[in-house]
Amino acid sequence: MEEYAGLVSRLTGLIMDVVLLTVLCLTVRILPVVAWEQVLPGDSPGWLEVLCGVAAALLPWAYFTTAWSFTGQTVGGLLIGTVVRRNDGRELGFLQAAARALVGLLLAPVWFVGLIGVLADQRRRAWHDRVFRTVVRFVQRHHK
Amino acid sequence: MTYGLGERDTPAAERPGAARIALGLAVLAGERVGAGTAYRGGVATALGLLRQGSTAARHAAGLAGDRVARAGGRLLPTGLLRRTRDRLADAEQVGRATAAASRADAVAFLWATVDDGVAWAQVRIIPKIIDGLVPHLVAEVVPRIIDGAMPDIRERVLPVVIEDLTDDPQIREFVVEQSRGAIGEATNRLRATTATADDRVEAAFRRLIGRERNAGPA
Repeated sequence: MEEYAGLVSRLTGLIMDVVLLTVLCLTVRILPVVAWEQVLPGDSPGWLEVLCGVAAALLPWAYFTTAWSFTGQTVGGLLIGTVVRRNDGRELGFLQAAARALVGLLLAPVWFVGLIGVLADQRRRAWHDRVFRTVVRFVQRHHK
Repeated sequence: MTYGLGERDTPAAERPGAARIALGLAVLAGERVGAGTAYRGGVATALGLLRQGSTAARHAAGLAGDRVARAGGRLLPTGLLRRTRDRLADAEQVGRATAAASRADAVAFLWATVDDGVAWAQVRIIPKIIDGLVPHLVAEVVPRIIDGAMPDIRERVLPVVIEDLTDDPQIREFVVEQSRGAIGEATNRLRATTATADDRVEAAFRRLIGRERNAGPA
């Protein structure tokens, strides 16, 4: 049981990812427009703002999908020492990771409420873990 | 090691006598004042005669000396003159050896005396001097030295030191390793804290709902 990450570890990692994504999204959304206006005369074109907005909106999904499908670890998970795996221990596929990230982002409140399931499950699985047949493990267990 | 002036660790039987050391000191003094051959010739002969303790030899030497001085050696029998000359030559050899041995003993005695004196001073004198000096140095001398040297240190020494340190690859590597170590330590501490909090939160939750954890489907 102790090899699975609990509620506090998962929330801590998630908060780190949220902070990181906030900074990244603001950068992607604002920086190109500001740079355009600084370098070129006049206001930035509308298409650039739309493009930046779309990129900023897609960035969280791309971030989680890439992280979970390639290494199983986001930056927050890397710092906390957790990794997302399938129930059998294998790495997530791209589609599985993409679906997990999409649902988590679109239904974020449900995602958070579903974390209560971690407290009552033998393998510390949240509701979305049961849906997508995943678990969150510790890479290395750290206890005081 | 002894800490008394003139004391030696050598056994009493091996210690040279005071007369011999005095003789060696006299030889050394003679060398110092420029008489490089002070224990040769007549002096050496006299030493040899003393060493042999031969009254006859001394008498013969004196008699021979007187007669030779008066008559240029022609009035003496040839045999007596030859024996006297041989004895004088032997006495000179013995005297030289005695002077050389006394000199060596005196040198050894002086070195031992100096060593003992230095050791004694190191244990008894120098600590007292330092104990007495340190408060004065710390209170008055060192601050003045620092105040006097600090402007030059700031203007000339520190920039060079900083430049050397920043250019030193070993220092750079050391700083990087230290940073990695600090980050790694902080990360490990965070992981341990959150993992412990996981267990505590779950335990509190179980106490709250009053049941054990469900074994959910795989």
